[in-house]
Amino acid sequence: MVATRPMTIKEFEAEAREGSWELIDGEPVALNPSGGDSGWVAGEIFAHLREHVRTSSLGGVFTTDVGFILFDDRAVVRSPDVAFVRRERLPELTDGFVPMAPDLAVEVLSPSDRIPDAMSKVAMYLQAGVRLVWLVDPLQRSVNVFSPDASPKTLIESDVLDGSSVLPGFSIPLVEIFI
Amino acid sequence: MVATRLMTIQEFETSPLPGRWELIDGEPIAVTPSSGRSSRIGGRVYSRLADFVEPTEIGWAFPADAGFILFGDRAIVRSPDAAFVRRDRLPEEPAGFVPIAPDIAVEVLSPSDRQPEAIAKVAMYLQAGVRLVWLVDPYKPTVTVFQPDASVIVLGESDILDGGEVLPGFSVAVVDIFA
Repeated sequence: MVATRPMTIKEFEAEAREGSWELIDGEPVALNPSGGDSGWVAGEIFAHLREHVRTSSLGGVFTTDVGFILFDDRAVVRSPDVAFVRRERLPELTDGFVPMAPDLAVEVLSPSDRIPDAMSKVAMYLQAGVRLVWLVDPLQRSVNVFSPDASPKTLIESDVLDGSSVLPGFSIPLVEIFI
Repeated sequence: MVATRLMTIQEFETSPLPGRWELIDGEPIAVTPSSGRSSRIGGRVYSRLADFVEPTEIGWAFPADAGFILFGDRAIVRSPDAAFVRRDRLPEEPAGFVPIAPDIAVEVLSPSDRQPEAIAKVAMYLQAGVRLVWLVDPYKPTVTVFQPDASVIVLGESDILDGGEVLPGFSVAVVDIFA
């Protein structure tokens, strides 16, 4: 499907569409449903984050399908598989998209995902000001950690994923999130 | 500097811009000169590639400054800090810009480089079909390896960087790159 003209965020938000979509510089792009494996892993990460955030009152954790307006000056709405926003930045939530980039964005790869597209998404999150990006690969049982001011890191199944300064005190042994 | 209108690759190639530039979707972008350490490390990677490649017919090694036309349908010319192109994709040494994306692209970070832009550049190389991207961080020191169909791998000083299927037989100890 080719858009005849770029769509605004408002038009994108108002239009009924089947399935999950993102808006990339005015162009609606359909999202493939996740594989069961990646959906499970995303759910495990969400559950761990939710538990940590509930006890620490750090902020809000979002499941997949929530649209984030990443930039003020670009028509971009993206939906990380899991996201976290710190309390002091958390806006009053409405039925609309979240009007800011999250502090943490988590992407879980499905077998149908292409690495070049995943890396483009990671780059876009970092350019939007996301402070921590976890790119989770359930097949390799690894997590790549990206942040705007440090080189990428690769964690394997025997490692512990931590929340750095974005989610102080959060840590999760990766063996607990992979099936 | 803001371009008043977008430039074609041909205009970019023939216009005498002072300094180093890349062309990103028709817009000329100035490239900041590298730090001394980054430049020497980029030169070292290029030398290793050239020493390996030149006695063979396998392909061409390029130092920094060569312009590559990354896409058939976008006005993008970028200059990796070192690159390799297989001869079966490029039979003759090009007189102008290299008309295709390289098989290996090497980026060496300078202190002035921002991680989000570096990751965006890596993503663009992968989207263009580059099969192996080495992101070298002299200040960690690490080499992060990106491929279009495999997870990201971060190599430290005790690891060996190899050419994989793209450049079989090539290998260099990471510690030697940073020596």
